[in-house]
Amino acid sequence: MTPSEDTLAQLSALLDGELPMDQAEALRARIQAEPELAAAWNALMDLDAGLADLEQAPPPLELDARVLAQAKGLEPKPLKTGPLLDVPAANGAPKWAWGLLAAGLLLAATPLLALTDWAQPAPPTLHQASGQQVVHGPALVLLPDGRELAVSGRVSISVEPPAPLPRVQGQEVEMNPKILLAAAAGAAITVAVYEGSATLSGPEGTEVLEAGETSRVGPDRARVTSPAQRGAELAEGSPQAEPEGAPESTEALRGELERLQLQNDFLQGQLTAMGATPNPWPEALDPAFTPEAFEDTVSGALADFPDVELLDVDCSEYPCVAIFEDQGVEKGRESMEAFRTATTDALGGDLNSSAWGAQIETDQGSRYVEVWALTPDTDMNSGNARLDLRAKDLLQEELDRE
Amino acid sequence: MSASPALLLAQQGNQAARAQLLREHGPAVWGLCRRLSAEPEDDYQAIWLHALARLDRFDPAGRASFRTWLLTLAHRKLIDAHRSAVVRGPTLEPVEPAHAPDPEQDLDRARQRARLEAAIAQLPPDQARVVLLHHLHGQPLSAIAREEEVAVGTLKSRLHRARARLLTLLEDA
Repeated sequence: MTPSEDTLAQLSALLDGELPMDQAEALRARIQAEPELAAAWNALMDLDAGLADLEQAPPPLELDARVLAQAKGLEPKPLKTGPLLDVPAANGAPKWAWGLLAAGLLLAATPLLALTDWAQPAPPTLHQASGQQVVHGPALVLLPDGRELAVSGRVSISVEPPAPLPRVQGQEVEMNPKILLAAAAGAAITVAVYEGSATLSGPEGTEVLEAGETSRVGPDRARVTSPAQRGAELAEGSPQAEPEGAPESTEALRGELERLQLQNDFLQGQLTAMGATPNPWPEALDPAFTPEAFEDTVSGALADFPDVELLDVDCSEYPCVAIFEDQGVEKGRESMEAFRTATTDALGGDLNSSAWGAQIETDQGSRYVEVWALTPDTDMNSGNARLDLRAKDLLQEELDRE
Repeated sequence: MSASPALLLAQQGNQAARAQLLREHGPAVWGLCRRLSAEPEDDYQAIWLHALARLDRFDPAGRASFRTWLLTLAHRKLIDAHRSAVVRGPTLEPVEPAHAPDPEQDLDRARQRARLEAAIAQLPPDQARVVLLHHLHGQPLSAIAREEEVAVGTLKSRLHRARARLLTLLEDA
């Protein structure tokens, strides 16, 4: 049953973090005590999650190509910014490497665009996102890794995306290095030709695939092309006939297995953590990680980083989790990163790090809040999950104050 | 805020870089157009041509991200478009996961999404805009209020009413 409009308005305000603390606590107590209110609150939370999870499908075929064709007549304007060389390069970010690669490939394809007369039937340019799709040629497909696929027959393209990063109030959050590694492992892309042929163009050259052949790039970017031994089966044309069963190299399989193991560890840890009791403080705890010593170390390290402000330290269970705000985020996040490194060094170096961060835009400008913990445990796949949940909750609470 | 190489190249009129921007941000713009516009394809093209023609006015060193700037342009365009058009229902697209460890779970999720899409399509346009821009795209309420030319408090009430309406619609579905 849907509660009254007033009650819903209150729950909605609670969801947005807009109720004063005393009213929020009173309403939370009522939610605990009143099943009907709890059901409404859960429905509202489900709605919130459902809205954030709505499909962001790519636009229909040819629409982007039409925009680009019309945009060709636009005059370039002088830049307000400095020369391109002044732009800080993304630190080891393969996303932009692929972006530049895609830009380069598209630049190479400019003659194709230039020759295109949009009044005449022309091969559509497709942007392949995650999922499986059968493409009927003629078509030019831009694959997620920046390669181009010119299709003259009928092909199946399968893109298995890496694990998506979780979101906090519509913002992607940064996660600990292991999860980032899994997320950055990249998508596996398989192209199978059912009829005719297809030409793959990428930095490694051009490859022509005939009917029955498949080409697969694994998450570790290892590329395997299989000959047409399954041609007859594929030529029958069932989209379900492909792509499973394509021969894999041991290396590609190992990379895929490693990625899945990381995801499995993470998910298993999340499940364990949800039902777990608070982490007890270890009996043989390194003295540097007791609440008092940890706070002292953090406070001492802060002296050298005026842009970083300590908002709170939660030592309600092991280990302590600290919440910081980077006041200098407009200049970049170097201060926060340098501060974390300095604190790590002050605590002895080889540590397990769990950090969550979110940048939000407010009327007063950007805010960057980071929640993290440093522990001497270097193997915390399952224990770390509870720590991650705590850190994420603390970050969410801080964001809810907006 | 550091600028992306693709953005800087696009500001110089580089066609490949423009394609990269479309590829990265197209789904977000399309998500708004197909849910809020009577002529989603026309509006999608108009928004992008408007944005590409004014790309030099976007300051990569400024506070707003390119995504925020683009969605603000889209929001403005869709408000204008609504004044002379009747909004149609959502274009539902099939959910086709690349790998489905649990097909029934995926099907349930797809059904939930479809119900939610259908419920959003029944919202008044001003409520649908605030729900999509705020929840799906993370636009701050203050920025949405500015474009809608209403006070932030009014917009919050609109959001509360939209959520209440969505819950009722989902309960009835």
